Amino acid sequence: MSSEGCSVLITLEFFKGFAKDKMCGKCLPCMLGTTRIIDVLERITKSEGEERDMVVLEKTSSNIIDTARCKLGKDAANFLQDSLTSSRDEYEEHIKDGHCSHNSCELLINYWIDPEKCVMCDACKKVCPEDAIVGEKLVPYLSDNNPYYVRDKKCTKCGQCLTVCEVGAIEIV
Amino acid sequence: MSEQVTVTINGKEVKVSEGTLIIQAAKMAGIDIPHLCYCECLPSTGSCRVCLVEVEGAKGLVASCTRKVKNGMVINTNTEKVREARRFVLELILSNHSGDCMSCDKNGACELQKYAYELGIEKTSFSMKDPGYEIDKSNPFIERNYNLCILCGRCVGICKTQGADIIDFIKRGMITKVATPLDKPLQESGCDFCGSCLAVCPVGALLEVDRRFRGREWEMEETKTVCSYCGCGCDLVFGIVDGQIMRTTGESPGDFLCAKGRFGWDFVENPKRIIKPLIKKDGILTESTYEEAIKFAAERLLDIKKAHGANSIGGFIGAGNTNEVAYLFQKFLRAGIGTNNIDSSARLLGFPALIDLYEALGDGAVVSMEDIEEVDTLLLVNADVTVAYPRVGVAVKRALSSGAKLVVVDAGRTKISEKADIYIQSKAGSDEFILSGLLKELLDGKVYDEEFAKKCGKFEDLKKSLGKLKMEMVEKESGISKDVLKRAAKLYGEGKKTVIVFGAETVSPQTMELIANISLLTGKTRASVLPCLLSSNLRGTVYMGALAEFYPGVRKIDEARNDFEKTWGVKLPKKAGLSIKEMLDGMGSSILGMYIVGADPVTQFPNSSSVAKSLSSLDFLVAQDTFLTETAKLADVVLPGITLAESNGTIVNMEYRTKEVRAVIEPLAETDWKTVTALSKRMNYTMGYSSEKEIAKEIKSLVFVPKKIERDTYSFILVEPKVSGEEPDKKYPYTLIVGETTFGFYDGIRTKNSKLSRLEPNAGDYVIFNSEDATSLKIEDGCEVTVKSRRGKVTTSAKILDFLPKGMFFMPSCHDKRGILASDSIDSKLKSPQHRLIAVSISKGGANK
Repeated sequence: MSSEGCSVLITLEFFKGFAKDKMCGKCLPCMLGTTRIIDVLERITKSEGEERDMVVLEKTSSNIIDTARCKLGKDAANFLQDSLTSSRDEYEEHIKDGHCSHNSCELLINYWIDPEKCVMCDACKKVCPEDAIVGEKLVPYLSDNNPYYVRDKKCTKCGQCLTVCEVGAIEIV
Repeated sequence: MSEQVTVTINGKEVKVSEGTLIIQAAKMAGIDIPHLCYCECLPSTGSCRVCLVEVEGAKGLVASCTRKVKNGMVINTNTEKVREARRFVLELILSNHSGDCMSCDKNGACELQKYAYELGIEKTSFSMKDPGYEIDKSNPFIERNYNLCILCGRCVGICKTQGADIIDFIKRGMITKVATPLDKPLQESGCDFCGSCLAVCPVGALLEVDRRFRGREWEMEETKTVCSYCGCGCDLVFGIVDGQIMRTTGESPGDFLCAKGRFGWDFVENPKRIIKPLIKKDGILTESTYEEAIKFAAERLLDIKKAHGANSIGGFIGAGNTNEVAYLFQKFLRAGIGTNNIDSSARLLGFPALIDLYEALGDGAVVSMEDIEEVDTLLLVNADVTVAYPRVGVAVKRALSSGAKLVVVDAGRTKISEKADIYIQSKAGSDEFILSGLLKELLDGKVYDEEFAKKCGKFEDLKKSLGKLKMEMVEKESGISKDVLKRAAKLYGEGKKTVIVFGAETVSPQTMELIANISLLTGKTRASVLPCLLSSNLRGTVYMGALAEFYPGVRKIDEARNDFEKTWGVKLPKKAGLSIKEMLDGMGSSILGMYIVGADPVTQFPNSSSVAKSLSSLDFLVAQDTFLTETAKLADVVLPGITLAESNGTIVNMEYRTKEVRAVIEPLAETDWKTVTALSKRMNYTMGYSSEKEIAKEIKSLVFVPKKIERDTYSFILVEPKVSGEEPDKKYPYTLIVGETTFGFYDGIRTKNSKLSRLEPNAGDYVIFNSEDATSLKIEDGCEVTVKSRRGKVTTSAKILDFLPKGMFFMPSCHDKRGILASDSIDSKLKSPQHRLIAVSISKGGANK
């Protein structure tokens, strides 16, 4: 496992940058192939990956190395191949378990408020721009013990609640 | 010749010349390497990567369309590694190709389909993507479905080299698309609709609109014939399904065809065609049977002949018929009726002045279009090559792209003039001054072939007459400074392989003589001029004797009469024939009967209102045509004619090549040659031919087509420059130039009856103003204007375009009424009217105001 971050996400960003800057769009394998790679990687980061995606990525990268016209395209495909070899487990984790162990792939993570730690101060609910946190501010002796919780469907993982929680009750899972 | 090298391809040894691409070498060895972006007619781009092969010793796979062979190279084109790479690229392309082969017209001829099948691809392993582009069906000819586009770039390449250079790739990556500037429809982007892109597209992204859902390629019956529009005479291959024309294309994908040649054929199947003979009864043309019409026509003509003599009958034939028909026609008139009153549209399109040019320089002087591509200096005189003679235009473009220099003399700012090194925007009608000025500058600047010129006759006289010519006068008449002419003369004179291209119908006979002089002065007598001819069989019509002054083979009446009397077995008339103008003048008095085949003098001939008047004063008029033309409407008997697409025979194109015309569909009416022979038989002169081949045989024995005029001695022709065309005066201060347009053609009878007219703005009914004149006359684009000449007036609409200089206006030659304006005055020697330059006055508003 690489230490710098999620390999899938890094590769995706690399290819997006490649498509934007370096790619000349003259030879079909590089032009169509790298766009395909971007598609597949995007799906993987959204936990929509399928098992055959690994085969597609491997096949596409090795074939681009064989067929692309210039070094730029071949280098890009090499980048993917290296990433596949060194961090295969990460890719598989994304596809099979729908989990990103670096907690970077937004759609693979959830915010969770630990009820044991939550003091119901209402700080997180106040900053949440999406109104994704549910709970009632604690009024001593008057209210019940109803810890706050996150509505996953609404949460955009913007991270603002994390910074305001004084007791560190919010976790990424 | 370059050195031969030996390479081994798939274990097979081949000897090829050095510098050959691997893909070409493989083809020579009989091995077809799959390819999509590569096309023989285009420079390789190496973008599709389908043609990858393994070369022993080379790193990785090699694109065979960009790598040249080396001695001893060992190439394998079909290893598993290669197939895997190809499969990958094809799968990628297929995943982006959201079409259904079931309903695609290219099914069976699609290169993507073919290679996918060969490589055993059942389904792409990538997920399918549908780009979701809208199919562009906005123009009448080319349907563009970019959902099927595989981005091979062939169309982009061919549009650059022989089209209008308007398409290129836009955007990038998966959303790359081929588009015009700002992704506008083709008709709004300056597309010439040459359709070259259609011919090279390997898939179904670009298709002929007419062809959709009318038959697949394997159902098509293909017939090779020759185009019957302009005098280029390009080879065409018609695809026929169920007896209907489905598409037209060149012999190979890189063969250029223009919009007319590729798309202008629906007139052949137009329901307005005359299929049954018509006889005028009580002033109304009514359908009759073929026998009845022929009998009636023959009897009436015989009556006229009996009562007033053979010379009271005349004949006129269009220059778009086959040699066989033209020959029969004049034989019928000369031997059958007994008159030399024969003329053809050739007289309006540069003949017989051109005969003098051919004789002055010899036939070897006419350059072929392939040779134009290799010249280093071109002089274009009044030849809008990309519009009027598009195949010549492409040859010129190709020459320019390999570094040739170009001098253009033309009043109009034509597309080709934008590529000129020196563009001489002459005043209309001042060509003779400009060319005389050029001659003088060639002589004074000592950029001519002195040794050769001295051997030519009248060189001293020429020197003397040019010595008298004042450059100030040239400057005054043409509006061009002598420095420009000096530069042009230097550029042209220093050229090693030079050619002068000019429009035969747009220059005056004196201009042609000056062109001959320039060729002689620079010592260029072989492959040095190209007179561009407007009609498909102009030369053939003239060489078949369809001009009053010549028998077949351009033999003078007096000299050759005995020979022809012997072969045809009849006494031939001694009296010289009349030209069309003389016949028109004599109509009603000395000329009482006319037989007109495949021509519409009322539209084609200048001063058309008087032509119509003359024709109606005839006792009897037989017209034989494909459509009910203005002339046919005046006829007493209309016989159905056929188009060149239904005829068998030969034509002679502007390069003097005899080309074979074949019927691509069953003739809709009786063939022209059968009609002429039937009429002749009824008039007691039997011409017993059983087929066109037999006529061709007789022609060959008599005329020796093509007979070459060879010369070994040359002589200059002394020319006093004059302003050609009608001179403007106070009452008619402007000059109107009649010329060709991209989607119109000559008299417009064919283009108007085909879908081409939909691309011609206002169906050719307009006059082009330049913005300066428009402002001073307070004319806006599209507003109604009246053009008046000494003969008559025409109301039409204005179109503002800076094409001509101030004081000059342009009218398309396919405009129905241009004939009303033009002058029909003829010179006494050549008897052909200079009708393309007309003095006019112009006012705003309709004719009634």
